[in-house]
Amino acid sequence: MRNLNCKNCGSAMIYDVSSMMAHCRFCGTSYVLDHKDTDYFKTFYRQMIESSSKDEDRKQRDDSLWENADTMSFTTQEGQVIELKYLHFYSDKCADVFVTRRNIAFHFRAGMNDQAEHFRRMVSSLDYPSADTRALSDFFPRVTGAFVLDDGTSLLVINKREEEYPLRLFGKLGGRHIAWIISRLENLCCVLEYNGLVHPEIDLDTVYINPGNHTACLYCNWWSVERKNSEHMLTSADNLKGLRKTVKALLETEEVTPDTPQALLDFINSEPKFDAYEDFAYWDDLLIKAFGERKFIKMDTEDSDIYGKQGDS
Amino acid sequence: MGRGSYRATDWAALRTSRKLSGDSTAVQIFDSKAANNSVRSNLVKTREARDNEDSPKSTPVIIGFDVTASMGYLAKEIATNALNNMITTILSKNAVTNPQVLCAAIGDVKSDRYPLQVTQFESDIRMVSQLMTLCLEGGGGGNGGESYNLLWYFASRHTVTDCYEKRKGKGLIFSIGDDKCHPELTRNDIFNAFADNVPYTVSNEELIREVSAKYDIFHLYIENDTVSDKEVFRYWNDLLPGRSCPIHKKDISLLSDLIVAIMLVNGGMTQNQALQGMNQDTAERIARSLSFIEIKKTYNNIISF
Repeated sequence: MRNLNCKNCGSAMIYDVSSMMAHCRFCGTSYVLDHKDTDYFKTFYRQMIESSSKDEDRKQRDDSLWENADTMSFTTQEGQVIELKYLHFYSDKCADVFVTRRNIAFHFRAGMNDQAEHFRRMVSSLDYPSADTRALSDFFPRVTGAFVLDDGTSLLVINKREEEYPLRLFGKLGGRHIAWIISRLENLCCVLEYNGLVHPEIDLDTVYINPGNHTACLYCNWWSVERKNSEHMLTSADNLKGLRKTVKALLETEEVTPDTPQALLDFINSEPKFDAYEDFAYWDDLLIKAFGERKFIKMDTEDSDIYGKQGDS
Repeated sequence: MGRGSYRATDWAALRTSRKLSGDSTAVQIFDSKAANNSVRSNLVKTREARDNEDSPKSTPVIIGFDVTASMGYLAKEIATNALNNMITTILSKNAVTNPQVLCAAIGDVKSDRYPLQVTQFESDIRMVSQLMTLCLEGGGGGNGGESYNLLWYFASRHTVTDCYEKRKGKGLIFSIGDDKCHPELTRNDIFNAFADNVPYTVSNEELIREVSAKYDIFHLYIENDTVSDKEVFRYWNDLLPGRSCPIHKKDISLLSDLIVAIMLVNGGMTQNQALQGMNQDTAERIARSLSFIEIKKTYNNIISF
């Protein structure tokens, strides 16, 4: 993804939700992306989707996607050099964020080291229901590096899987895609609920998805996470409002269509329920209303067609 | 600790007194029903590998082996064969100077009573006799990994070595097992295993980077002809590229030869040079394992993401 620097002051610009505008958070300049920017976006998007497909050329295409990546280097206080090779970059209020092949790196601004600490503490405080520990922890950050740089600022690096990208890079999506993303976000909100946490910045930059296997992860901006009803009196509703705001920004159309049923729009425009568990149940009902129940179709095969050693007829 | 020298006569005497032979079972050799307080990682503050008149340039060597589930055969091999062979070969080939060996029994911090047990760094026959005081708990299993990362944490934060403090040199860590490693140590894991209060979860990547300042670390993955062999080894190769290698269970008697060959490659030899002097059959059988070892000297200076 192309980095866009402000033509007025030179600092990195932030894309807006529509990905049609970019704004400079320092001097306030706005910029409408021209066709070169959007074509570049589309090329990246196409390459990303291709690289997620499963065929024999996949590895080669994965590598080619990263051949054009930008690089950035940092030096730690101990003199180690940290090299980042990244395809997507944006500036947030606390940190510059670099999306590399298997990591996300947060370079915190001067004076923001406490936010880096808070990020780690919040992530470390996550607990999971014992019955499902491994699967759920895969969808939250795992810090793989924390460094103090030579200028005293902090660099925090978390893990991501190669096929995962921030929602912002997916542009607008159809209703069926929105539906599975809502389901996964409800899962994530239930984990937050279980831990008594509120993430007030659930949005297109903080949620990463793998379109191939329909998973979603809440990786970024954990410096803003708080315990429920603590400093800013945040509640479960703030998680669930973030969920709705995020998917609304992704929605291709707010008109009722076969792919965007009324029930889907009803959910997106609804007020959050009391907590994530109730909200998930509510979504489950509307999901069935929107797209119908799952159907089990008998395939024209027998067990003997599926099981057996190679070479068996 | 670490005084004294390793002598063949001491090994012979120990073998006789403890009735060690190929016929001994792991249960006979490791007869402790509970871990001794002296080896429980949560009760050990530090282990020291110090220079002394017998070991003027000591090199700490840590051998950690998986004792979960049915891994008794590995512990037995180390006690009855590998440790003695390894130390005598190190000394004869001068693979490292003045080795001081600490043995560790690695379990699963998610489920075991004794997830890590550690002996002292020793230069003489006590390295074997202390090994046999370890308890084979036989726990773990079914949760996606074992706690090999406890060994890295222990080495990084609970060992003190003259090799590093006086010479900025590195010791060696070899972990051996047949499973993946849990991806991180949570605060609870660390408290349970070491009684340490830490502010955060620590990931394997961070631990490896941290411990690599004082030790060169390697992992030997034991292949069992299971469907997950390739997947598990790929996992290790991603985590420790060039520093992990497979060894088949049927070749476990060659463990010590492989470890010494890795030490030699780590010291600057080529794979072929490291295999020289071995009998032809041994060299052929461990050549494949050794081919996965590739030491990059820039390992600690540039970190790429």
